[in-house]
Amino acid sequence: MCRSTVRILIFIVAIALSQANAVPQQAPSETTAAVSPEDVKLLLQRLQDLEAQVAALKTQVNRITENSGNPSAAVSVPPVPEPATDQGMSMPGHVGETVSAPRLQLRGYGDVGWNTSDLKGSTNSFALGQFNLFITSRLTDKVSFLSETVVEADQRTNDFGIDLERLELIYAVNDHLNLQFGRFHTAIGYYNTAYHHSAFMQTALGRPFLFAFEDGGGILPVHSVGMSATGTVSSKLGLHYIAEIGNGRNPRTGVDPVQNVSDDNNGKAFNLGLFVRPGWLPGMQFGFSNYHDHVTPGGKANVTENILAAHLIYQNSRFEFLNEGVLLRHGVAGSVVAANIPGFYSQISRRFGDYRPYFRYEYVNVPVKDPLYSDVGLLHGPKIGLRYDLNEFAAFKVEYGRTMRRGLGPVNSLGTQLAFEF
Amino acid sequence: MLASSLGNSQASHAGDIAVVVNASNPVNDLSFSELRNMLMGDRRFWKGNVRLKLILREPGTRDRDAVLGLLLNLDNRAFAAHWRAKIFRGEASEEPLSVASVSQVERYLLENPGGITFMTAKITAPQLKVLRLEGKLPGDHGYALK
Repeated sequence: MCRSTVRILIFIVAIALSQANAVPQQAPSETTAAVSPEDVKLLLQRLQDLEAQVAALKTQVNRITENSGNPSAAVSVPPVPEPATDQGMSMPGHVGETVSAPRLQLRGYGDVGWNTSDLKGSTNSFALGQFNLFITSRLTDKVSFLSETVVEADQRTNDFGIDLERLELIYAVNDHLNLQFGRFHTAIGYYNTAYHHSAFMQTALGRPFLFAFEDGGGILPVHSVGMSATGTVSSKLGLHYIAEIGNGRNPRTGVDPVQNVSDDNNGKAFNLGLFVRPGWLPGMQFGFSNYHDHVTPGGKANVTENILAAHLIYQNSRFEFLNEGVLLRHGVAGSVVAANIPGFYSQISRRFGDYRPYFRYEYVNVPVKDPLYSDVGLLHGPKIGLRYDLNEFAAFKVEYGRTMRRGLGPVNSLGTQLAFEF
Repeated sequence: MLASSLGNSQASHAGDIAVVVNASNPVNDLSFSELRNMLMGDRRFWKGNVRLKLILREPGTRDRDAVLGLLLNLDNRAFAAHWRAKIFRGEASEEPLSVASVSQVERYLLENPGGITFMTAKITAPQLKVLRLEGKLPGDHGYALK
C-alpha cells in the first residue's frame, strides 16, 4: 500500500516538475512574439505555485518513505475494508450490512434441448427452453422484491413471447407472518412453489402433467394475482400455514388464463393450506391445501372449482422422494353436474456423485363430462431419466417417457436438455 | 453480563466452535434444532422480531465447514444450492454473509444486533457473547460443535 502510494506521488511530482520545466522551454519560441509584463507576472506566479506544490509533495514523499521502513509508526492512511463476499451477484458497492440502499441481485436460468416422439405429425427438434431472468432486491430488513421474467418461444408459431411470471413485493413481519403482494405461484401442493420456471432446479426434464403451466395446457391455476400470507404456526412442530386470495383464472381460450389486471367476476379465489417440516427429520415435508374459486367460462354457466391437494416430500442433498395428489372438483351452477379430476405423481431419485437417475410416474384423468378441461382426457405413464451435473451451475438430462391416453395409442418420447443457472 | 464474561473466557476453548451473537441479544441458549433452522433459513427472526443475520466465514475455513457438516450434514456446494433455491422460492431475500476474517466477523456482529456467527477464535470485543448450545458452552463435556 505504502509503496504504491509513493509511486503515485513520485509520478505526480514528475509531472509537476515537467510542467514547471515546460515554461522556460516554451519561452524561447514565444520570444519571437511580444511578451507583455502582465504575461511575465502570470508566468512567474504560476511558477511559484508549482514550486510550492512540488515542495509539499516532496515533504509527503519523505514522510511516507520514512514510515514505510517503520511499520509500527502511526501513519494516517485510511483503513481499507476487507472484502465481504456474497455467493450471489450484487451491484458494485452494495456489499455489507452498512449499505442502506436497495440491494439488487440478478440471476438467470435457461435451458436448451432436443426432443423427439412417435406422436403422429411430430418431428424431432432442437428446442430453446425458457430464458428466465430472476431479480431480487432487499429494500429494507423486512421488505424485499422479487420478479421472474421469462422469454420463451411458442411451440406452434416459433415466435418469442415475454411473460412476467412472478412479481412480488414481500413484507416479512416476523416468522409468523410473511406477506406477498403481486403475481405469484399458487401454493397448491409442493412442486409449483418449489421449482417455478427453472428447468435447472428440477431433477427431471419438465414438470409433471398435473403442474403444467396454464399456457401449456395445464389444468391447475398455477399463477395467482393477489396477496398471500405464510408463516410458522409452531416452530416446535414445524407447522406452517398458507393463506392466499387472488383473481382466480379465466378458462376461456384465446385470452391469458391468468387475470393480471381484470377479474371476470367479483368472486375471489382463495387457497388455504397447512404443511409440516418436522425438526426430527430434516428434508421431510407434508401438508395439504384447499383452493376455491368461481370460474366464468364465456357463454357457459359458471363453474365452482375446488382443488384439494396433499403432498409428502423427502429431500436431502442425495435423496429425493416427491409424492403429490390432487382432486379437482368442477360443479356447474344451477346443475347437479359435477366432475372430479384425480391426479397424482410420484418421483424418486438418488444422487451418485454427479449423476442422478430418476423415475417418475404420473396420472391425470379428466372425465368427458368436465365443463372446462375435457380435452385433456386421461394421461398416465412413466418417465425415466438421468441428470448429470456438469458443474455447480449446469446440468445435462436425458429422459424417456411413455404416455398412455384414453382412446388413443401410447406415445413414446425421448428428450435431452442442457439446463443452467447464470 | 454473565454471558459476555462466559464468552470471553470460553470461546476459544480447545478448538470448540462457539456460537456468538451481539451481547444485546437477550437469547442465551439455543437448541440444536433452532440453530439448524437458522442455518437453513427456516427461522429468520429472533424473538422481538429482530431480523436474524447469518454471518459465516468463507468456504474452506473450519468455522464454516465444520458447522455445516456437524449441524446440517452438508458441504459448501449443497449449502449454497440450498440457499439459492430458498431465494428462488422467495423464502429468503439474500444469502448468508460470507466474510474473510475473524475481525470482520466481529465487526459485522457489532453492527448487527440480530447477527449470529460461529467462531473458534477467542472473541475480543466485550459487546459480543457466546451462546449455550443445548445448555452447554464450548469446553463443556458433550458440547456439540467440536
